[in-house]
Amino acid sequence: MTDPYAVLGLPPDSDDEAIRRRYLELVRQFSPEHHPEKFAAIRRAYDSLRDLNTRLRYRLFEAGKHESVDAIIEEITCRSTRRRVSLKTLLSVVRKP
Amino acid sequence: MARKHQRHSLPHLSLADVKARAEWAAREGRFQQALELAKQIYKVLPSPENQQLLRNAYLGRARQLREQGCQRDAVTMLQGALQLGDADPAWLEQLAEELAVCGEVRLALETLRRVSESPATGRVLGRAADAAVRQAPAGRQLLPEMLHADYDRIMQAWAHLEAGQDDQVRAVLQGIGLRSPFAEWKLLLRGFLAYYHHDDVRALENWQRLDPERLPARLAAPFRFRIDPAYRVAQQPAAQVALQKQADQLQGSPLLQLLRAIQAVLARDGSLDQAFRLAGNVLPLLRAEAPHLVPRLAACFYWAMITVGGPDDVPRYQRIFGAPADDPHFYRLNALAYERAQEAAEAHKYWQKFERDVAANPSVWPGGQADRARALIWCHMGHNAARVPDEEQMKLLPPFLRHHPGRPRPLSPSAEQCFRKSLELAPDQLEPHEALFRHYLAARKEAKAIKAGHDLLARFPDHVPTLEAMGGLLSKEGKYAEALALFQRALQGNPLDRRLRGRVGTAHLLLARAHAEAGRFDQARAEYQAALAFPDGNSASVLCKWAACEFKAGDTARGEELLGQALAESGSRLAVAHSMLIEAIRLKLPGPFKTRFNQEFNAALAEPPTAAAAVAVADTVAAHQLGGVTYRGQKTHDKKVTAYLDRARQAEFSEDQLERLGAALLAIRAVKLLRAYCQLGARKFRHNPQFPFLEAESYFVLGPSRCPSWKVLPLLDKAQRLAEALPLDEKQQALLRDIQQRRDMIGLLSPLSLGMFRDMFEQMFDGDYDDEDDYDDEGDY
Repeated sequence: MTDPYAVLGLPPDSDDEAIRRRYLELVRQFSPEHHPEKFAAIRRAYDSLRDLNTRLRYRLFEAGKHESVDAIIEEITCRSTRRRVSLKTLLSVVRKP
Repeated sequence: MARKHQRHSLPHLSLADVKARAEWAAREGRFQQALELAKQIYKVLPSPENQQLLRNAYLGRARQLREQGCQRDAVTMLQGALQLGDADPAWLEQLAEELAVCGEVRLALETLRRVSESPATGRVLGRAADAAVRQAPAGRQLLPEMLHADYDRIMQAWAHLEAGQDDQVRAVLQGIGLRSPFAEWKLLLRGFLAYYHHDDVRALENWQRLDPERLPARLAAPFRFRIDPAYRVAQQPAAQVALQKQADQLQGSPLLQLLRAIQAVLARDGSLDQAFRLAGNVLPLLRAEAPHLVPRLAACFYWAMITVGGPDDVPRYQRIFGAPADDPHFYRLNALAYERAQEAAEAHKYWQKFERDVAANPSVWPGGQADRARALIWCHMGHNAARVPDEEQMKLLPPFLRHHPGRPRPLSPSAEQCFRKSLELAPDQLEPHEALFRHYLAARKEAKAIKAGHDLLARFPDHVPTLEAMGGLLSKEGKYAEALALFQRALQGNPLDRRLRGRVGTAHLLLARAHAEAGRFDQARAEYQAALAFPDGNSASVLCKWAACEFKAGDTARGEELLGQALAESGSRLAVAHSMLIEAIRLKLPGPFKTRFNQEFNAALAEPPTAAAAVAVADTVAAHQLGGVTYRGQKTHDKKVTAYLDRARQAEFSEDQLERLGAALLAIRAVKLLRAYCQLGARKFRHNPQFPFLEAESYFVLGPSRCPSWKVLPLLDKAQRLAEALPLDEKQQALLRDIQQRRDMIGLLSPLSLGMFRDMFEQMFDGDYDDEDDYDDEGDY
């Protein structure tokens, strides 16, 4: 699991109320029937941040433990602006017919 | 060159040998050689098989040349194949398709015209469309006039897409029908429309429908590779490298390439030196392009240092990322690294330093978080300390481990001190209370556990696990009324819990007995009545106890009435006589009662054994043993019962009865008899996993020093195999979990892990294992 704050899309100083509100918002958006994996990730993230004790435990013993360069690459890939490519460029890069 | 083109003359070989060589060459991808041999063979013997061999060689060589980028040579090869004069439609379709792929659209269509109503027309036109787009703008002329309009639409759509005019792209693409040879291009372009709007789901929906043999699929591949992890993983390693390279060329940034280099170095698990150097290069770029990702990259390195790093890496980290705000001296990093290396004493030292750091920097932990954080650290240290055997536990280890120079030493501060410190810092938190209570329970310090439990319940009066554990503790201390009250409170919190209901029923019975022994018969009656509300299939036993109480109170008529009810409820004269005999002894009933029930017990034992009586009497013995009941003459009774159970093996048992009997025999540790019944069960009910599992359990109860893993493992294997074949339900899942737990225990059966096995064993079998098995050493059972 990556950073639970990143999964919920919240800053690290969020309080109980903000976390709960965001969690409910996300589970409504990603229901377990239609997005089982995403829902499970949201649920896991919420479980590690649901109250001050779990947040502190996460911060003390877990923060960053499951972080990976792969996830950072994935995020840059997904969020960066996508350059429009011309047909000519595309054909020249993908040379093989 | 001369060598390359020399003829493969094979004067000494038979035709069959030459043919075998040609086929071998084709299989190995040496199509040029295969073609030359096939020509020779066909010239000597123009049979249909040899003709097919020649066709395959021509086509294979043409495809090979095309893939090498020699399109003209490929076309020449295909023209040569056409000159064979072969009119087989399937062959001509293959040639036409390959010609179209090579861009020879006119020749392809001419070839196809030689086949009337060819089903390959659509495929060939699709290939022609691909070739035309690839050779744009000249490609238009390659196509028949009927395709010019769709070709123009595709080229216009590309121009609009590149200019960011997405609405025009959609409008233009609407003109292309589903049956058009350009439909694949339409899908490709629609995928790009979604991709550029970060709608990856829709982009993939379109691209997943592309024909992998066609050009649009190849053009989409680098983009799909970027956004579709499943597609990425499904590629061969060489294809992954190629697609990654193409994706980087088309959409990549230097940042991504640098991050990939770090990823590769970290994955090698070697020294972090090179990874830190790369991080130093990537950081300015990352700060500029995605500053929010800098802490995440720092976290990757922080944990990499914990897992594979060394002391030299700390200054490197500090130089590149700076010291973490909440661990400025890297004490936590050291503590976690030592924990990982199982150096508990060093980890303990660093956790203490870190805790002092937290206390000294409250601004990093705002809003009173510092004390909570410190309490959590102390709690964590307490759990670590509790894992190392203390002086008392050390005495239980074998001498060679006890005196081993490398054995872990008890940590200072001790677990108790750590948990107490945690409580001081956060007295309103459940976790330190519970940790201290559980610690005392595990250390068998009952008086301290009761005190800690009361403290916990004063703050958290509805904490069910503690209510239940305290009830058990107070029962052991003989404080039955208090225990009952706690169990009842626990049940209020969880009224449907079967196990808890059973414990409340038992607490009523214990209190009833205490009243009966003290002559408070009315109170005892009320408790027996209450216990009947929690029968759990054990009402006959309650009725027997109540009947004995009435006999003691002098109300013989009521006692006989209850006895009659017990007999009707149980259906087994033996089990009731046995229960009554036990109660007569325990409640010190007058001599005639003892004589009467002793005679009834002996008479019932002398009867031919039945399955129902065997199960009932085994349940009675097990219930008394599990309840810790002892009385004068118990051993003699138990011996008689086991002799009866031994004779009962001839009786006709149902599957359920055998399972129940096995569980009871396990509870009373009659291991040889248990094995006999398990083997009987395994023979009669071959698909039931409980019997091999219970047989394995019969070895486990012997304790860590006598458990033969070579006998247990095959039994667990068999139980697992049978359990996996059962329908998926809660019972099956519980059994599979139990099997896995026993496997884990077997893994701990090394001398160095003995302490852990002992701990697990104590948790599972209530710590009451004994090297002398009850009946086993005394006789047959």
